[in-house]
Amino acid sequence: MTTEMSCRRVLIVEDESMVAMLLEDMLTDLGHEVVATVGQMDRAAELVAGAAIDVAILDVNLNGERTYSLATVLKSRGVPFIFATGYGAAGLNEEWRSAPILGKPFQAKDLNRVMREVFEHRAAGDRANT
Amino acid sequence: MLGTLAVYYTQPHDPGAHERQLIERATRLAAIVIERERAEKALAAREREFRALADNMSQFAWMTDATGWIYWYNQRWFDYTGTTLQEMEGWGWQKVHHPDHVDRVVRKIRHSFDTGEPWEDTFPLRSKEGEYRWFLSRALPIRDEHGCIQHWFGTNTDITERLKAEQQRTLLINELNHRVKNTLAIVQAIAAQTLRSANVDPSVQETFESRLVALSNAHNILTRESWEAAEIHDIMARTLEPHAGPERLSVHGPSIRLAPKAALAIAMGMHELVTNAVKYGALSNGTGQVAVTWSVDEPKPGMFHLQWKERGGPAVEPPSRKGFGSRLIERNLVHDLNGKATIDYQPEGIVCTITGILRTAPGEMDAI
Repeated sequence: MTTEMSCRRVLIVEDESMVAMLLEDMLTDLGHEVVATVGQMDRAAELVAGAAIDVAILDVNLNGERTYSLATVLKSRGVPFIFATGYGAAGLNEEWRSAPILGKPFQAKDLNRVMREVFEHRAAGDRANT
Repeated sequence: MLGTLAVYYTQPHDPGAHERQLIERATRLAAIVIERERAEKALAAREREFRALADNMSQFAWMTDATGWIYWYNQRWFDYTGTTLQEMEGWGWQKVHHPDHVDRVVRKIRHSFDTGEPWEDTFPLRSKEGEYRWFLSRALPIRDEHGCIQHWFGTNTDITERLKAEQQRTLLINELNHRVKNTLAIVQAIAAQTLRSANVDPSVQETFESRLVALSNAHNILTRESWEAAEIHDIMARTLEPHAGPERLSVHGPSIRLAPKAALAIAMGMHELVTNAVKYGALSNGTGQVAVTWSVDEPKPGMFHLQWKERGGPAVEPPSRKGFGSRLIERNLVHDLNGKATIDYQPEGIVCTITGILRTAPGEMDAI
């Protein structure tokens, strides 16, 4: 049923350390590699702009600040991302409402499903472009 | 007249027939003039009263002819918009409307003028300072004795503050929901770390997390409706759909608006039943079925009855010890719904019957 997914290099942007820890464990259990975990906007911006990553998981609200600017950079780099949020899709502004989203709290299987969707969607996009 | 006659005759004088006639006519004439003046004064007084009322009411008010051509506004309209009747009469009012809304407003009000349907709309109007404020606007046709529309009488009520308060409330509820969700995620993380370090079977963590997520999903539905009520179909769909499609799990019942406590209790109860069915019951094999049905007492809705019925699963044996799931259903659900719940371990499948009292919440005629 659930086929193994190849190992992805993941950046976690999350200001709540306990939640970040949980995400790290979930991702590791799913066979992924956590490149870095950051909870500060400036550090996150650096990594988002330059780090070698396959995907980023962005907490929408980072210490009261929205992480849309990070999403914009990732989009321009062609790096997929997932918003993690307690607000649900209604909490995202209109520009990002159709972005992949994980509603907090979530289970490992939800994380796995969204990760899979992100890369399947990308693969379909690549095929369409060639 | 009498004065004139009195001055005219220097000596006492007995009036002749002609003079009497003259006096009589003059008196009648005077009476008519006095009466007319009295009527005019009364009319002017009523007019003043009407103006005082119209100009001092908190709303803007206006009148149109039968075609919708506005010929009168109260003073408040001119005070707010800083315009004159000359600019505003007829369809000139469009000048103070917001360009993003004016077409919609015109379309809608024309429809009312054409059909005679009462008009209601909400839109921004520009003040003389250039600020836009929001107005709830209504107009009703005034008909003559034959039912023909003679005029329309309309009002605009400033609801800017109310809208701001509503936005503020939505913002606050979203923020609160976000914090609750973050806290639930932290609780989940603490539990995960605790269970992991104690080498507990991973299925325990899975069960715990799925319960937490079920609670969180019910919160989402309630948050969407400002924690007033949740539609039972939404609760069922959110709780049950991830586990089985309609070919295995059918859901039938009338629409019920559940009060928050009842919504959470039913979501948690359904979550326990469906996860149990997936593990051991009718959804654990390839063919079993679950039917969820509920009804409301007629004609006077007092009670609501819900049944969860499994068929076609492996043979059921009553458990030797009651798990958290069945205790949650039999105790918590009963407590929060103020009703009754029983789980019947029939050999051919579990049947769970829940009865709850329909309570009327403020503004919710049918919330449980």
